[in-house]
Amino acid sequence: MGRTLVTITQYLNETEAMLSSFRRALRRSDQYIFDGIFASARKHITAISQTDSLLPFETVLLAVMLEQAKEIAALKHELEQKRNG
Amino acid sequence: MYPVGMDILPCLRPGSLIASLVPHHSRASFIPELIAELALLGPITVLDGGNCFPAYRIAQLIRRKSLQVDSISKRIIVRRAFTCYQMVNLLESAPVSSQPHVILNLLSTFQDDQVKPNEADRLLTICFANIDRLLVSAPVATTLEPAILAEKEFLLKRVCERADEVFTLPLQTSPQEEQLSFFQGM
Repeated sequence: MGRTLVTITQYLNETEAMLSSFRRALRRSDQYIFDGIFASARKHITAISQTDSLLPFETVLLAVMLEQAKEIAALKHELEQKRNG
Repeated sequence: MYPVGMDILPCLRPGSLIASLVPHHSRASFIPELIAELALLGPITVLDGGNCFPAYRIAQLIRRKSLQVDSISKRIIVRRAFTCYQMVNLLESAPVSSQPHVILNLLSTFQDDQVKPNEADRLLTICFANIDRLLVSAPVATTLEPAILAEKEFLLKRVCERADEVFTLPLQTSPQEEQLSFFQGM
């Protein structure tokens, strides 16, 4: 008996494919950022699959927000170090 | 034969077996739409014979029309069969109820080359007897994919002949075929 539900990796690939026309309509520079959003979500695939959510995209967005929050925190830390030092 | 779409919903009434010929490339859109629409209307039983129940897509489609994704999703009862014997067992054990039954890929498990055509034919006859039992109080819709083995193509014909209505999805055409000519008569 195999899997009965697609994996989160497959789900993310399908979602990315579904949004390909949206991506195509973006500027080249924005396409780069868009790809980065999916790359940041892929860093948390294990955590996303643990949620057992019916709508995993909500958790995907949370993972993207988490990566952004991490980046903001790192930048804040860097800024504070520059100010102090 | 009719082109398939959401036109299938009004045809779902007790006593009628609806068969939909869904090529592999189209099942990603048609099956979730049908199940989501039926779930929004009430409880539904899905008998999955092709391990193709698209849970995430159905949840997405339900979310587009309702905020109660969890409670509506709970209306969908999914039962799976991985062999044709399990499919027979699934249909035999299905209780008669008024909720619609959707059988996904009824013939998928029959494509097993370990199962001889006459054995597959015998099992399909049992399946029909049980589908008839379910049809007494509820509509039954089944999806079918083109037969993989030529020696088992007759199973597809049998289901189409047995069905009260057969819906079919048009084959995908390439953009070049859809492009209209700028010049008359060309």
